[in-house]
Amino acid sequence: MAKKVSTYGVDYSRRFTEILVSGALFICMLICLSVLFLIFWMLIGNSIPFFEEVSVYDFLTGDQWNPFHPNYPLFGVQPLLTGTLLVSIIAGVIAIPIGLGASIYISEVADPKVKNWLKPFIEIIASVPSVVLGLFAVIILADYVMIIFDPYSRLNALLGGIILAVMMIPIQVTIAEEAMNAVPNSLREASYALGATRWETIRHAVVPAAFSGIVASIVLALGRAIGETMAVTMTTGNAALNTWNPLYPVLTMPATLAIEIPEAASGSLQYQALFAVGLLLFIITFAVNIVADIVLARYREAYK
Amino acid sequence: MVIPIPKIEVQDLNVYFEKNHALKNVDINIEEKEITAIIGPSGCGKSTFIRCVNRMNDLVLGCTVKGSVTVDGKDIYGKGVDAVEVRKRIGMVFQRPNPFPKSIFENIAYAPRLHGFVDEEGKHHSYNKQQLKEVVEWSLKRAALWEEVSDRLDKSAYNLSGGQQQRLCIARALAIKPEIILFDEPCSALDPIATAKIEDLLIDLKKDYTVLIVTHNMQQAARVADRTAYFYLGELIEFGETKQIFERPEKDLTEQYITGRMG
Ligand SMILES: Nc1ncnc2c1ncn2[C@@H]1O[C@H](COP(=O)(O)OP(=O)(O)OP(=O)(O)O)[C@@H](O)[C@H]1O
Ligand SMILES: [Mg+2]
Repeated sequence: MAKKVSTYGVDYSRRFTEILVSGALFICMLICLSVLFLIFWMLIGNSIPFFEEVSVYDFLTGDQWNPFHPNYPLFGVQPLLTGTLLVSIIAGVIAIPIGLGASIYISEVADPKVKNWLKPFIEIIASVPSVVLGLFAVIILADYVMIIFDPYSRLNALLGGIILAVMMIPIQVTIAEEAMNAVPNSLREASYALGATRWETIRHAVVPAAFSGIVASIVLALGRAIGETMAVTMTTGNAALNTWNPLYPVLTMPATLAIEIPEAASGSLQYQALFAVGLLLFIITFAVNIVADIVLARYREAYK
Repeated sequence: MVIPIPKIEVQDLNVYFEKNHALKNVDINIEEKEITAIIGPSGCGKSTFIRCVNRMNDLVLGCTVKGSVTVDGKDIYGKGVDAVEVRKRIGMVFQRPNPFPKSIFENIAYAPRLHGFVDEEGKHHSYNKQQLKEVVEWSLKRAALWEEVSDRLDKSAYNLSGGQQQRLCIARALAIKPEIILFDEPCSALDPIATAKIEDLLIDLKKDYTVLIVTHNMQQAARVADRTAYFYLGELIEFGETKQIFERPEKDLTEQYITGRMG
């Protein structure tokens, strides 16, 4: 019987394919990396000439933003930073408790059948385009905010915060629910067997075990809120007021970029100032995401 | 002649998972401060049976329990009995060690923190720091783990070995000051040395506690148990002194199982 004898020789054609494939994969990875690098380079490259005119200190501490003033353009980023933080904080204050409650309900309380249609339902909210949510806020929510809170103007930080909360909640629920689902059932049984009630089990066994996942869900959702542009531009009134009053209009950093870039002459100081704003925004969201990554990594560690 | 009152009296116990009739007309009396082993092939209802004793099956959707389980003269399935109160009085240790992802101390302190304690006058108190420390130390000592962990109580329970984790789970159950402890194959995930330690501990616990243990390991049942119950397809086939069950089983089914011709 003729048997193929293995010679343990080098199979050059297979080796060649392997090199080709890994080369192609490497190029794909390089493309992704270079996009990030290009963005960073664009932001920095355009910000540097701005910071040669206006000091970083003046930029960060200046409390007036009026780059298009014909005689005295002002480049204080404070109002924009305040606006962004205010809207995000409002969104967080609304979204974090509701999102946490909803994720606990779906993961721990709801009947499995209910759970199966609740989850996709919440995920659908995440898929609504932000411009549609913005419209909803401006046309419908704004009326209720007017009646209930009597704000200074129809478009204001509170309205922006509410619609951002609507965008945060599904992100938060998806991740937090997953984290609680990943808590092994044996821990729940351990808790029940010790005579804990369902609420005690959730509070003292499930939530602590899923804690880093829950924190990560909040941080990722906040990151989304900070960077969100369209819905916020449509709802916050876009006045650079440097106020912490949620009933006043505010101007956020993403909205500033969206509105003012088309107005600024390419290469002008205003144009460069907007890149500096973009750079600051990028640094903030980047930091938020890194925090989320660290927390998530620790959480995965705990269940290996 | 004094007829001892059994610690646990099970009468006409039937359990269904949806349509699956998992336990059929089980009658059994468990004596106080003895070790009772539950043996039988996989799927015969051993776990289901001991989970009826602390009403853990209540947590399983679609599970119905019929009949009565009387502990110290009180039917725990009777009207007005709260399953949570039942579980506060009965400890349970599972097949796989399942410590919480917390420190060793916090694992033991989990239930005492939640439940507090009742003094001689029947008043309810929560533990203060010192009392909590005492309970933790007492529980760990009783579970023969204190020596090994006393210097790292604040470290994660996940750093312990499997056998240590299982003794931690025993200590955690002891911290609720139960009179009955249920073990569901506590050694099946452990090596022989860790198993031997748990067995020694079981025999020691017998002095103070009524112990029910499910095991797949027939030698283990023979080594530790005073009485042994053999279950087959949801029925209690034979129950008696361990020696008798292993040396002179009355039923053919039991003999087949213990001689290894089945299961
Ligand atoms: N949570 C559950 N849901 C549905 N059916 C269950 C559940 N738990 C057990 N059963 C069923 O009840 C019967 C008895 O199962 P049980 O777990 O008590 O067996 P066991 O004797 O402990 O087996 P093993 O030795 O494999 O642990 C089986 O038919 C099983 O499928
Ligand atoms: Mg079992």
